[in-house]
Amino acid sequence: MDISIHYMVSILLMMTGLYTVVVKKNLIKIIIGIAILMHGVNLFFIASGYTIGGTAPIMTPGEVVAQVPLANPLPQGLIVITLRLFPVLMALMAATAFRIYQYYGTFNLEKIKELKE
Amino acid sequence: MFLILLTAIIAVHIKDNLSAIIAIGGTGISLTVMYILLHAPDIAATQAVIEIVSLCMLAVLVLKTTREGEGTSTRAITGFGILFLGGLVLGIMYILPNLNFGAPLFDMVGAGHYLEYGVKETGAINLVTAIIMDYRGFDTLLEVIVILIGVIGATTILRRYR
Repeated sequence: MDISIHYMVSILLMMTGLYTVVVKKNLIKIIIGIAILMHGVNLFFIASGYTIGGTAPIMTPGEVVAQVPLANPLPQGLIVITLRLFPVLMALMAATAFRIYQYYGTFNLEKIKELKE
Repeated sequence: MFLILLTAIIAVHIKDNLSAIIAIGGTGISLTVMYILLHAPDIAATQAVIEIVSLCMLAVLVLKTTREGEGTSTRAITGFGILFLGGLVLGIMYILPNLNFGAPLFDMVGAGHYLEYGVKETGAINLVTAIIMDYRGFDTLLEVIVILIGVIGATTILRRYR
């Protein structure tokens, strides 16, 4: 595995999410775009912690200092913390979108804008 | 690897809302496999769980409301948006070769201490657990409070009025 194909894929994921949030008009598509954006950021961090020839940062019992190089545990710990907030974000956005649909009867942002005036 | 990108792009461009959500599930599952290949089993487990949970919520949202993705057509600023994003992608691709994959980006500066003394100080052989439960225990505690606030907010929005 040579250079940074993981970085490229994560950057492209982020760009796909950003494109969706900016360009699409459907509310569900915007929620999906935010999800893709978060996945891209997470993949970038995890790829940055990878060490060639290493293993997962779990030691065998009784071992105090690792014999082989380990993957960097710091970004993994941070990403676990942000990853657990992901379903909360989804729940909030889904609830808001559900209320908006009940009120306006559509997910289309332009129609909602017309109905408001 | 490219399954991630493929399913993400399918999810963005498909007409039907339910199919889009199923496609984003494909992205999450292939990301789980990717995390295992990147030596991050904790992240993989968490990713699988949260993907299932959030997918269920989105599926309930779509099934309760409507399936047809009216308004999947794009906005008027599409041309400008594509140009902007293309420029951004090209710029980042220009920077990318300087980031050496495998040689860690953060240079193990912060993590060196954890790698060297983590087991001695905490007694946990899983270093990720040692970090999130011991060194950054208050982070995890306050994060649980944030989750609680989020759940309270969602139930408040969904509560029946009157």
